[in-house]
Amino acid sequence: MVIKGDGVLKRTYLKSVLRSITGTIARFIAILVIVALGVGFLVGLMSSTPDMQYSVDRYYDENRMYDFRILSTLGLTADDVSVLRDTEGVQGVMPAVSEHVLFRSPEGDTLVGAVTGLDYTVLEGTGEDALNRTVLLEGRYPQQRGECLLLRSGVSLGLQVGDILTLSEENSDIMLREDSYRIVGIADTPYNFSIESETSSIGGGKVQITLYLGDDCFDADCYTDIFMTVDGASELNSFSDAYWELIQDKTFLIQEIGRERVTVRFEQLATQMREELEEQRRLAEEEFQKQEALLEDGRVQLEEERAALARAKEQLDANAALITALTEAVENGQLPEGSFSALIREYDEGVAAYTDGLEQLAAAEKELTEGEAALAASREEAQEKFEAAEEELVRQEIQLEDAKIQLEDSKLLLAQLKTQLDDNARLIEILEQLKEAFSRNDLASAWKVLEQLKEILGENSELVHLLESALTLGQALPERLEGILDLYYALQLQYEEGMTQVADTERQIAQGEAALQEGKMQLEEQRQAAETAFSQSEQELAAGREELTQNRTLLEETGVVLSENAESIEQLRPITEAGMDSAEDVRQTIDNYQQGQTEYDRGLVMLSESEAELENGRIRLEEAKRDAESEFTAAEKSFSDPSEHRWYVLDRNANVGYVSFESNSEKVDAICKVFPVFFFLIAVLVTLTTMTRMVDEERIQIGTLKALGYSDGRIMFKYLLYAAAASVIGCGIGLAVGIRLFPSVIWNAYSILYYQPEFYCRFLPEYAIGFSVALVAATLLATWLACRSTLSEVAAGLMQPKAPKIGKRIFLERIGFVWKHLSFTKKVTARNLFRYKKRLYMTVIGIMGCTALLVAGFGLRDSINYIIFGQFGEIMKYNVTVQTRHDNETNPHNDLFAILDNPEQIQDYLLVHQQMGTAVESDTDVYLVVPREMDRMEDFISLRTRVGKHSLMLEADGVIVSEKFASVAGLKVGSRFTLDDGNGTEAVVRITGITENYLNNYVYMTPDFYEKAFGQAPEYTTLFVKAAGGLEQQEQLSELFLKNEEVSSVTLTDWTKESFSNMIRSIDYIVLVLIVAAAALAVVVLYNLTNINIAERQKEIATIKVLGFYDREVGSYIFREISLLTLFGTLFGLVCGIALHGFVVQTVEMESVMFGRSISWLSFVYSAALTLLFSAIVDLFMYRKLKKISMVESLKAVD
Amino acid sequence: MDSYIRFENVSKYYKMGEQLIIAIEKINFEIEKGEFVVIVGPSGAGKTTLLNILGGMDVCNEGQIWLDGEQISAYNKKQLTRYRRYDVGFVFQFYNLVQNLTAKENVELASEICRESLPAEQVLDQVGLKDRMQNFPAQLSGGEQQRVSIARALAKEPKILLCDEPTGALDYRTGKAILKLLQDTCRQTGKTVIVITHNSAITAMADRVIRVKNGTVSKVTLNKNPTPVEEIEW
Repeated sequence: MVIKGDGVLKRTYLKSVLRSITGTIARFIAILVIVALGVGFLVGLMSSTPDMQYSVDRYYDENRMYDFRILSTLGLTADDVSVLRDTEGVQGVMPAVSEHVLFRSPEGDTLVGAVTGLDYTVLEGTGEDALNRTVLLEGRYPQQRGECLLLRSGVSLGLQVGDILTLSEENSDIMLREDSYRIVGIADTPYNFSIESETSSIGGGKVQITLYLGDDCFDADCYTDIFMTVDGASELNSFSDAYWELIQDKTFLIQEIGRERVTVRFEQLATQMREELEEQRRLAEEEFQKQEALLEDGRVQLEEERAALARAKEQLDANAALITALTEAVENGQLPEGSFSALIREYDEGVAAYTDGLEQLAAAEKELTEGEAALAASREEAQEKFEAAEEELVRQEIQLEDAKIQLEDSKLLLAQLKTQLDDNARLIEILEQLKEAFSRNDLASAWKVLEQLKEILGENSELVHLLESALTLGQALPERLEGILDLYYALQLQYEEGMTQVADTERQIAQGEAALQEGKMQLEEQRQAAETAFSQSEQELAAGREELTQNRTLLEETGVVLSENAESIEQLRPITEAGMDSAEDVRQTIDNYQQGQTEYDRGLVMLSESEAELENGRIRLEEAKRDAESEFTAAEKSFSDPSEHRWYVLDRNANVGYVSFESNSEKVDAICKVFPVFFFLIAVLVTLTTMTRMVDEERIQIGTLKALGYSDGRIMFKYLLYAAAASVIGCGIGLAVGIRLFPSVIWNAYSILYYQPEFYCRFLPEYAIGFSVALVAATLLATWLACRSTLSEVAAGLMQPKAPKIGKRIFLERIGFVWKHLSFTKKVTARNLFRYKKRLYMTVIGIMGCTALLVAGFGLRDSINYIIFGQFGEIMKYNVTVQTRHDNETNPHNDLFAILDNPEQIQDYLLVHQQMGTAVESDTDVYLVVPREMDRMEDFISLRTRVGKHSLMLEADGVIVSEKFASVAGLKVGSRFTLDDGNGTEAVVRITGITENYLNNYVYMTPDFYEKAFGQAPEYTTLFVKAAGGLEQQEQLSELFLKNEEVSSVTLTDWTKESFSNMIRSIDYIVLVLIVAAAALAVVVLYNLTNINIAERQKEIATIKVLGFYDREVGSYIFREISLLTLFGTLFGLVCGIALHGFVVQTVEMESVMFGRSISWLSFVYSAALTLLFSAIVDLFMYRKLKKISMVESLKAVD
Repeated sequence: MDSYIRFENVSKYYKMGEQLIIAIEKINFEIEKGEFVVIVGPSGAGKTTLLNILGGMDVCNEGQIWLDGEQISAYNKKQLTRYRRYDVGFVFQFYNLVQNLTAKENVELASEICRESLPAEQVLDQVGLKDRMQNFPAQLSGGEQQRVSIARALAKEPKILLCDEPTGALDYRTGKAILKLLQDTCRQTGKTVIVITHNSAITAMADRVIRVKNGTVSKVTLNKNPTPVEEIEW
């Protein structure tokens, strides 16, 4: 690149510059990019706040945001309006009627609404007097009574066009006429563009919906507000000092007018008021008289009641004895079941039956005894009869025996006769044969027969002799034989006759015996029959006797039972007579009596209550009279002193949106001032090192040019041109991107807090040109510094290779044992690190910045995340807050507690006094929280220190405050501050603890301390509830609560969580920007450094390649240095990141929100990992370049 | 027996745009082990290309190069690196010392990557720099720096010592001293030393002179009796 010494220097020169650029395009781009980053970041972030403020100011101007809002203690009149209109310098005047009322949404929720009534044409935004104009988003403007325009904030509550809002029954003393209002349009207005709502004295304490409607909807005799704009204000930026100077001037003017107008108004009202007061006094008097009459009536009634009670008492006393007896009977269990009269009747009947039984028994006995006697008689008689019969029989038997004996004798005789007969039969037969033989004279036979006879009678018998004789003699038969035969026959006949007679007698005896036997048998039968009959009778009698005995026993038992029952029955008799027929009746009677007693007692209590009430009524009346009197006196007095009345002239500082937007946009400004400083610094460092390197590289060329006669200025001009070209193009790109990108990202981040208007990214010359020029100048200065020393050398010296920078021993070498153990590449690394200090700083600062940005970005995310997890997970352990209309301690509402005590839906709940108060000194809104049960507090809210997590206990003589409040108000443990309880009562309290808390400001105290401090008992109208189940179940629960009339509002912490989740999403944008910026920073710095390192040591690299180093060894030889610096930078960056994060977080925080202070370790890991990743990418890229270095370079001369 | 180093029809072209520039063409020569060789020729004759190719820094397009029975021309990139690492010692015209390392460390830089290297102290003693071992290059004169460079090359115990204009940046006297050192090294250690120069006067001290002209070897001369350095004048 030797420039030939011919004429057209300029062109050649430019060519040389151009060639330098194309030849070192990477270096050029490095400067360009870092300048672009620097300018983009700086200008982008710096113009964020002006852009944001400009956009909002433009929104204000376009919609004629008020400059002044006038309120008056006496109300404002049309006269006031016209006076203001006629005032010099006043532009627009808009009278309005406004108030806060409670609405019911179509779903039945109670909503606190801020209602503003305007003229219909003004409402539509026509005319100069239409201020705080609304921008219609949907629907149309109201045109008649009963229509309203809803601001966008209401949409998030689920309201939409067509919904009807109804006035709540709880409103009292309001000006709105209609009961319901239909939403006809939804709009935005600069007057209410913050999501943060105004406070209100009704409902939940915060305005939830804002409505605009026609002023004829109000029944008002004067205006409540007058809004005004003044000349020259819209031309000024609302956030500028100039604007506020103008406003200041005008304020005095308007206050002056106010004083006059108030006097006029006061006079008008005073007359009117006095008349009204008279009227009121009269009315009050009438009312009091009426009340007194009522009291008298009450007294009379009371006396009547007293008399009635006395009567009741008498009756009770009369029955007392009976009841005592009865009670005793009941208690002793003496009363039988069943009907008493039936029992008595039964008893009496029993007694009668018993008596009858006794009589019957006696009769039966007598009868039985007679029966027995009769039986004995008949038995005797029968005995006698039988004995007689027996005797007869015996006699007959004897006769028979006698006959028998005679018979036996006869028989014996007969037998003897028979024997004789039988003995003589042979003789007779022989005799007969002889007779016959005689008769025929056969004497032979006769002898034969006589031989037989001789055998029988012996030869000596006389007969035989006779016969023998006769026969011998042949005589005729002898007579004697005849006579023997006759005798014999006679005897035989006699025997026959005797035998017949015996047989007859025998027969007679047998007959007699049979008859006797029969007689005996008959007697026996008769005796048996008689015996049977007697024993039967006997048995019957015995049975009768037994029956009788049994009957007697039974009867005796009955008698015993009867006598036993006699007493109780006798006892029942009077009870029955008293009209009670059963135990139930008795109990009933006792109950009745006791009830009567209770009623009487109650009556007594009521009587005394009534008496007390009457007395109270009397006292109240007295009080009311006194109060009325003092009120009237006060009213009279108030109208005697006009100085108590005044106008309140408010400016935009009274507008929530304006104030919060101003403070938030200023926070942005604060952050924006830190970040770009890094980039600015790095840009200058990068340029300086790059240009130094470039000048070094072109040393010989510079020497040549110098030798050729170029002036120093001209030579330097080339490098300045080079640097200028890079930085100007960089500025251009940086501005083009930065001016749009950064303000938009930040604006979007704030969209979670505001209903934002259109955003205008402007080219702000003071920033854009100013910073660009500053940065270009800085790069040129760096370039000049780089050239200066080189150019100061003589040409000849420059032609020589630059004396190599002397190697230096470093501190590390002194520590022998460390140094000796290092390899050469490590030694070189160590020496190089300290040799090129500029690069060391550049790298460490650049990488540190990169890591710090990442830590801050990720940490910011962690911090907001921690609001959700810390506040709603660890600190607030309840998930539903219920606001009730009355104190739940003194006036518990049963239906409500029925819901609360259902364990399926509610795990636990705590009664709390919660109230919006103010810390007076710091003017901070704080929630006063007084838990009813101190010991259960920690189940719902964990009070603990953030650092160390030591739990805190509420002490009896002090308060615990939340950390953010303490830091905002500059309070420490032991400090005292004045606390306004929201009702105007102030108390100075001492802080005994500061608790970790992220959302809203809280002051916790014990009920006793609250009472001591504010002179009244806490009202437990808030319930902290731990509901079971997920969001869906909680929402159902919320509906259930809201159906209860006692509940005025329900808040689910999940809703709040959700809004913070949205916030995190917008923070993600910022984190992304930070990551991209950090990446760009790291890449540019590392690339540049490595590039220079490689370029500068090209020959060294070539040499070690020639010496036989492998590519890998060459790489580590070069990159170890950068890696080490990157590591240092990362470590420093992690530390700086914590500081940066702390700063960013504190700046970004809103008054009532504290972000988490700690960064999760994961964020550190991410930040370090990303930094190292960026570094690795650069190394990888440069490694390829390293491989391409030719060894032939080593043969070249020193450059 | 084959020669220690042999170039057979070695050619190298460069492409410059569309033009093909011939650096060397069909070069043939042989070098025996232990010889002190001077390759001489005017600027642009192709000496440096020859050196690059022999030193393993570049590759030829045609032909074969043999060293100690190995075909260098067939090596791939990695083998070439290993070849440079263990077999070749370089002595550069501009010394190419690492500025940030002392003389001793510069020698160790080379010896550290070798398997069988000589102790740095011994080598530095050998080149006469015993007292300057702890000095940084910038604290040394040109001749001293070149001695460090030679010591660095010798410490690796290479097969050949390649010297590119070793006296180019030195004054006459110092140049002579360096040449003497190189010649002594050759004689004492028996290493093959190849010196590339445009200075024809030096040829007298060589065992073998290879003259290069327009990319080819114009003449190879063997000196039976090389002149000692001290007697050479230029």
